[in-house]
Amino acid sequence: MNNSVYSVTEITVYIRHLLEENDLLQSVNIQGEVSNVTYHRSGHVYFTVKDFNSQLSCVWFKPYVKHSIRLTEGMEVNMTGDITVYPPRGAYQLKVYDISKKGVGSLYEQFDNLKKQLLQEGLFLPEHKKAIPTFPSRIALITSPTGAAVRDVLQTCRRRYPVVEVILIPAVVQGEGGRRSIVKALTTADELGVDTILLVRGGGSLEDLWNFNEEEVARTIFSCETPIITGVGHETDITIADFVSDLRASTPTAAAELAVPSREVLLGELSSWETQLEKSLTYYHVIKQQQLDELSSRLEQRMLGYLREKKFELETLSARLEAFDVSKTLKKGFSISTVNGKVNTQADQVKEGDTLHTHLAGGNLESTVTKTTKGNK
Amino acid sequence: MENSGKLEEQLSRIKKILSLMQEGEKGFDEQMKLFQEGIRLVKSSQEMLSQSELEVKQLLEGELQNFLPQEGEE
Repeated sequence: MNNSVYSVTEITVYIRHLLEENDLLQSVNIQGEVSNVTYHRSGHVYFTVKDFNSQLSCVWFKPYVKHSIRLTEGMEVNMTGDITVYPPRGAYQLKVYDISKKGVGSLYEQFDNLKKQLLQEGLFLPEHKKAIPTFPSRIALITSPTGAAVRDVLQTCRRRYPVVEVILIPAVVQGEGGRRSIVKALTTADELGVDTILLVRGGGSLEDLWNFNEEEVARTIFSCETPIITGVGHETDITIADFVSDLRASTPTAAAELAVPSREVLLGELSSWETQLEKSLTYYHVIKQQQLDELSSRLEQRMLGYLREKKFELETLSARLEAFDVSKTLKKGFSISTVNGKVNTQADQVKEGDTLHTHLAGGNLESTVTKTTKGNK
Repeated sequence: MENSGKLEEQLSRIKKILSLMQEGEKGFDEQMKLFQEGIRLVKSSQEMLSQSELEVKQLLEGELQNFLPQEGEE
C-alpha cells in the first residue's frame, strides 16, 4: 500500500511520535514486580517490571529517584510514568516519575492519612505546645553536620546571641536510616536537659523531607519534654514534624531566630532601663526635696506663729503684773517696813531696840523701835 | 553560661524594681537600695550578654567534643 522507503531513524521517530503523543501512555499507573535492578553510578536506576506474561523496561532518572525506597528483586511496586522510546535500542520503556511499594499508598496519601490520624489523636493541639524559653543557655541542634542548615543555624546564633551554647547532635536527615537516626537524636537531646531542641533540615523534595513525615518521628517529638522548634525545608514545606512540634519555623535560619533572643535588642533595653532607674531616683529626689521645702516653710510659719502668741501672752502678763506694782502704793503715802529683811506686818514681830528699815516712795528710813503695842488687828 | 536562666530572673527583677521605684512609696533608704540593686542587675546582665564567642559542641558517641565545621552539600 505504500512504496516509500524509510530509514530506521525515520520509522523510529514516527513510532516515538505515536507512543509519546498518546495520552493513554502518559502519566500512566503501572504495577508489577521488580527485577534486574541496576543503580547506576550516574544516579539513574534501570530495572524491569514484569508480571506472568510480560515485562517492561523502566528507567528512573536521577532527579526523580527517592531515597526512601530501595528497589530490590521481586519487590511489588506501583509506578507512575510516561511510555517513551529509546531510539538507540529501538526499545520502548517506562520513564518513571514516582514509585512506591505496592500496598503502600503514595507519599501524599500517607502524609494525609497520618496527618488526619494524629490530628484526631490531638497531637497538634495548642495546649500540648510547650513555651520556648526566652533566654536559653543551652540548645541542642539536630541536623546533618555537613548541610547548609547547620551553618545557617550557627551563624544566626553567633550573630544574635553568642551567649548560648549549642550542642550539635548529628543525625541522618534524608533517606533510609533517617527515621531511626532522628528518633535517637531527639531522645538523646531530651535527656541532655537542654533548654530548647532545634530540629532542622534544608529544603528538598517531598521524598527528601520524608523522614519528617514519619509517624515514629512525630510521636517522639510529641513525647519529648524539652520544647522543640522545627525548621524543615523552605517556606512552603510543612511536614508532620512541624505540626507536632512546639513551634514551627519556615527555615533553619528562622528556627534559630525563634530559639534565641537578639543580644542587640536586649542590650538596648538594658541601657534604657538603666536610664529609667536613674530617672526614677532623680525624680524621687526632686519630689522629696519639694516635700522638704514645704515642710520647712510650714515649720517656719509655725515657729513665727508661736513666737507671736508668746509675745502677746507676755504683754498680758506684764500688764497684769504692773497692777501689782508697789511703787504706786508708796506714792500714795504708804510705806513698807522690814526687820532683818522680813516685811513687818505685826507689832509683836519686833521688840524695843530693833532696827526698822522703812521703804518710802522716795528713799529709805532707818529707825529704832521705842515702843510696841499689841492688838489693833 | 549557666547564668542565662538567671538572666531571665534578673530582667524581670529589674522591671519590678522600676515599677516599685516609680510608685515612689518607699522610704529613702529603701529607694536607694532598690536603685543600687537595679543598677547592679543591669551591669551583671550586660556582663552576661558580653560573651562574644559562640560555643559549639558536638555529641559523638555519647561524648561532647568540639565541633569543627565541615564543608559539604545538603
